[in-house]
Amino acid sequence: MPPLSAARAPLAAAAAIAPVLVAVASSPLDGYIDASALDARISSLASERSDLVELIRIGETREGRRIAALRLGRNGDSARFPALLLVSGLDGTHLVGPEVALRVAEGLVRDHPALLEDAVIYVVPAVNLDAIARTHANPGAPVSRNLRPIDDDRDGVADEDGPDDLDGNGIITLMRVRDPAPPERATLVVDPEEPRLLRPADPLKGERPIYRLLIEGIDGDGDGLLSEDPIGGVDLDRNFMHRWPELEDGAGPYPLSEPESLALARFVIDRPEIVLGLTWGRHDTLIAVPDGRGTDVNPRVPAALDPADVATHAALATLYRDTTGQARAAGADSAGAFHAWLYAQRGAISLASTIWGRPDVPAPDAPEAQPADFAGGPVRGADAAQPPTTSGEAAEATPSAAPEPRRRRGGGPPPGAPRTARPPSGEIATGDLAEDRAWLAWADHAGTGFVSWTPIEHPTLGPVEVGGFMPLFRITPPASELDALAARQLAFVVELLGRMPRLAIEGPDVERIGEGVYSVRMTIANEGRLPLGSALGAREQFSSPLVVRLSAPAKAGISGQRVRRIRGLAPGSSERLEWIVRGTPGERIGTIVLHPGGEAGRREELREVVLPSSGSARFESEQAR
Amino acid sequence: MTVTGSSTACPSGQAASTPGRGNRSATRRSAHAWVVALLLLAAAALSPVRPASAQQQLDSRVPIAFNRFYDFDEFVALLRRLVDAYPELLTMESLGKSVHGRDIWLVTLNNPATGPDGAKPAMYIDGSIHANEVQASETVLYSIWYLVSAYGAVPSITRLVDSTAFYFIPIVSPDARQDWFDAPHSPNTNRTGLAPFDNDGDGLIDEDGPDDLDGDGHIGVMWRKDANGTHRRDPDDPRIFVRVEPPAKGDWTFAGTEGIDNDGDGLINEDGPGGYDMNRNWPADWQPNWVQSGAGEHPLCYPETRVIAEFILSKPNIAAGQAYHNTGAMILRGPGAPYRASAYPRADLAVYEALGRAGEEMLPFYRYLVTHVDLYVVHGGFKNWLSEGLGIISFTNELWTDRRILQTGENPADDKARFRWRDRMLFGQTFTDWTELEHPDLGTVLVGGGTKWSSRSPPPFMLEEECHRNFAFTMFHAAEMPRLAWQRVEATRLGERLWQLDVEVENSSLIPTRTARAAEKRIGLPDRLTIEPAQGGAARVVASGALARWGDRLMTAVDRRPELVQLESGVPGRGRVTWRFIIEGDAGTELLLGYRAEKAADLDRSVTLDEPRP
Repeated sequence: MPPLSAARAPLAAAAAIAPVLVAVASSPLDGYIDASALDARISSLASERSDLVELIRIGETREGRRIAALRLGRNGDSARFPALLLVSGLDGTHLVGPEVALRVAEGLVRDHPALLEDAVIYVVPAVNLDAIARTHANPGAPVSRNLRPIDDDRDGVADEDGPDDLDGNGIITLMRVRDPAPPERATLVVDPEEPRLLRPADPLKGERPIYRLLIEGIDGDGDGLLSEDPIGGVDLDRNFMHRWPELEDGAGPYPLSEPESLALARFVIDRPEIVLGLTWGRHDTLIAVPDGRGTDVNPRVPAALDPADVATHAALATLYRDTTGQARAAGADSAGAFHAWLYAQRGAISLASTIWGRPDVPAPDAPEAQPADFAGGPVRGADAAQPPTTSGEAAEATPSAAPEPRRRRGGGPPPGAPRTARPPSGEIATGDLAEDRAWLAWADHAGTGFVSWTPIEHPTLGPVEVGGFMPLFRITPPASELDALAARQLAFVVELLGRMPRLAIEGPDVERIGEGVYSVRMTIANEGRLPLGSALGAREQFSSPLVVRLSAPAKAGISGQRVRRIRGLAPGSSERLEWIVRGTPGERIGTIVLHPGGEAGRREELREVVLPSSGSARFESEQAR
Repeated sequence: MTVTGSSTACPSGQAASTPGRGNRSATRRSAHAWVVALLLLAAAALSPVRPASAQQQLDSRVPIAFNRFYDFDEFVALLRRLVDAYPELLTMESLGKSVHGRDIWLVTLNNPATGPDGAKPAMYIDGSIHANEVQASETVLYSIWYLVSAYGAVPSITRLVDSTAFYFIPIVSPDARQDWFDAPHSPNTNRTGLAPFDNDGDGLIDEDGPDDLDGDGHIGVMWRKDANGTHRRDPDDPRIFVRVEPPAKGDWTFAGTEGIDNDGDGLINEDGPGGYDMNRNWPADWQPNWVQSGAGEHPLCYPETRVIAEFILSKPNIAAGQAYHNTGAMILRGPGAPYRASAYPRADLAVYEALGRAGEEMLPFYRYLVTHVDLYVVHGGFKNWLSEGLGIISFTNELWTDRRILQTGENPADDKARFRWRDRMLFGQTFTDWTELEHPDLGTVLVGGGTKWSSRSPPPFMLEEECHRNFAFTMFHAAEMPRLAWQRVEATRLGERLWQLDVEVENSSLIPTRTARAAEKRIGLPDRLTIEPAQGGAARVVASGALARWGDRLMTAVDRRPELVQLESGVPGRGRVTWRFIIEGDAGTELLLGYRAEKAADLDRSVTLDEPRP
């Protein structure tokens, strides 16, 4: 593996800067670029390097923002298959994704033009542009879903009672209510180890519940419920068709019901040359690798991965951890997620990265410049020793314990509230307590991220305290780290490009084996280091194949299927095709190779040879000649 | 039959049943003549001097023959004539365009004099999502025609129409229906729509469909000459192939549907036009193509399915659904897969059961069945989406069965029996005799067999009965959509300014305002029972709660908003909600009560705080 030259230098530089953040950071998005600036940089990359970059507008958001995709690769080059896809910005609160995607695209063009000579990379840096714009406009009340009006409390009015900033700090956090009046009920006590945190009371130990935790807000519509119907929306990363969480919160009325998710899906469906995907967002397949166990309710459909695809994904996960040093990731349930669909229904190898996980707080006497200090643990191998508490598919079993804000909208900083039985006043469940403590330690170290509990007088609840983790805090690295994080992701993408499946097509070789009878042989090998799409897609024959057709007249065939479809070719393996045909010397015969691609990207290659009167003849491509 | 003089006005009734290539233009011409005749008839019917009918049949402003089938253009012309003739009840609008740009027509039947369509429980009825299941559309057309024709003349229909909205989409797959009439087909095609699709994954699209080798305008079957044949021709009736038992050898072996290997890949008819199934494209247990063949690239990926889904989602008043198909005489309910059984809670099953059993009585030989148990596993089916995704009590009727054709009540035992029926009742129609051909891939073949009319659809003379019986069942279903009424409303004085007001809302129909599925999954809005003082009045609702029965001493109080009660389970079928309000207010105060359910008409009434009269 090449050294991490690209990643190292900025890494050290950023590490040195990190402590400075303690003093500033009024908004976690200071230094992040907003949706329009992002678009401007995407556009200028495309216009400045039109030799390598093509800007494709793949659709519009609900509010009419145009979603951009970039095609990186030498323009006019026909080598489109197989292609790599990079996607981010499905969740309006995962803003590190678009920042990294943009930098990776810029970095590929700037630093790795040679790689783009014979590769095609599609980059969709930001899908949920409306929510991203809202989050930038008001980082204190970020919006994770899109802007479809949803009547969360089913009172006939949509989006009428979101959270409110009661303590005037511009940030939506939580309210803790001591001994709430009935019918509300206390369920929590103060964590004895960390008095700023709450945890469920343990009645078996004689603990009396004292607190209830609610989202900061009032009863905006006078219905007796607090903050029960915030802005939006459909969770775009729960709006895809693999294990779509039908009739669940945020799933949308049907898969791809949203213009944003539909645009992304159509973009991918129209590009069957994509065999590998990396999605930056709130899902993770790289720190905690999904196993091959378990199926969807439909027993034919794997819940996460087919057993035959686990090794490939696990190897790439090891590569990822080695390359990026990320050791922790708070994953989310992949039901309805984009990356899960890309795997289970498009036949691609599909990876998901959160980019950033909870950093370690350095020991008081530790030297400041350890790269691991801010970017998520030791660079190598630490993941095994220190598995994340909740990540990947493990989060499915205990969604309420998942530490990242993902199912709440609007002011949704708190850890995922249990969805199915949301109590009348939107009580917030506590997250994983150990994880909360660790984040709090990091917040103390960073000097931002947690708002101390401040007493206020609530219009209906009386005296309450407002405070808790700031929204975006656990999902948003300081802007000063973005270059370093992007450099690490770029290094990983470069590694992936070096491993892409590479097809070597040889032949046809034609040999006269009798009077007017010829054998026609071809070999198609994968000289890359990744399979040509998933094993699942190959076995179930749904990934887009490389098609080889015999070009001889139908009556000429003696043996062999005239149409062959090549899928999932393992690295280092090859497929041998053979036909026996009738022909006369001097006649041109051979094969047509059809490379998958949309209308624009499809390529038909005629590989014919003149039948010899004796011996054999071999097809040689234009380039070879 | 319905239409005076229709048999003479419709000379093409039988011709239309064998529209081969040669006589297609003739069929067209006669169809045009027929439409002209209709116009004349309609003009006569609308003339002021109209003899009182002494007949039982309905006197319609638009006579329509239901002993024939209509291609897309003819069909739309009839819809337009109905809408023009009954503007007080019917409207039609295009929901969008099909793949080939044809309109997807929605016909709404509503009497605006009794309220807008959205304020009434509505039934959604469609046909021909599978265009080859041709009589499904005629059944929808018949339903529209019957309802408007009977309105004002048949009291029960008048009541139904006045209290109900109907949304009809007679032709879900318009391109494929037109193609079915225009092009050679078998009874089993076009099940698909006509968006291009690469069925065999060879990078070529729709390159190898069936071919009408004998030029009869139909896609029949082929038998290839074979010295080791599995069959021989019946010496008594050479139209029939008879299996020979080994070691005996026959002369012929079955060779599939009529066609050649157009793309030279060694397979015949493996990638015809389209090649998908829009009834696997709906967002309830949708599975990808590799699990559910025909599913499409994603749910609602076709213009036809997507616009219909958006329409249905925009109409929360839809409380019943029916999607007509053929064939097999079935009244089907979901689920389509065993693991979806929990989407049909017991209370809902009781409704399905009651309606389904009634249907078995009304529809000879029809059976009430569960799709995945009695038919096959289906992912992403339409009626399943209505039932499971939207909580709407819905069926698919599979129209027609060959058990109708002989009087045994059984399917014809063999080909001989089938030919007896065909010869004696259809005078030999619906069969093309065998033609010997040299097939490019198979050598000598016999081509022929049943025409596209030979199965799945009733012969014209039986079509009207099929339409009527299914229409009647579907109206039985429609009449069981929730109908609410106030029953007892009683104020009792508890103190100087304190009152107890008991309220009873009854649903006289079988279908609850909220199905158990909808309540369980919180689909749509809960029902709301509201109370407020009339203008200028003052009163305060202190508490309110459900009563287990009328006159119960104790109520189960709600913990917030006692004056705006949300009822997740609504009003059960043939049942009632009994509610008590405790109110502070002066005697004589007038209060307004309201009951709102998405799938029932609004209820409003006033009540005065006063001791009830004895």
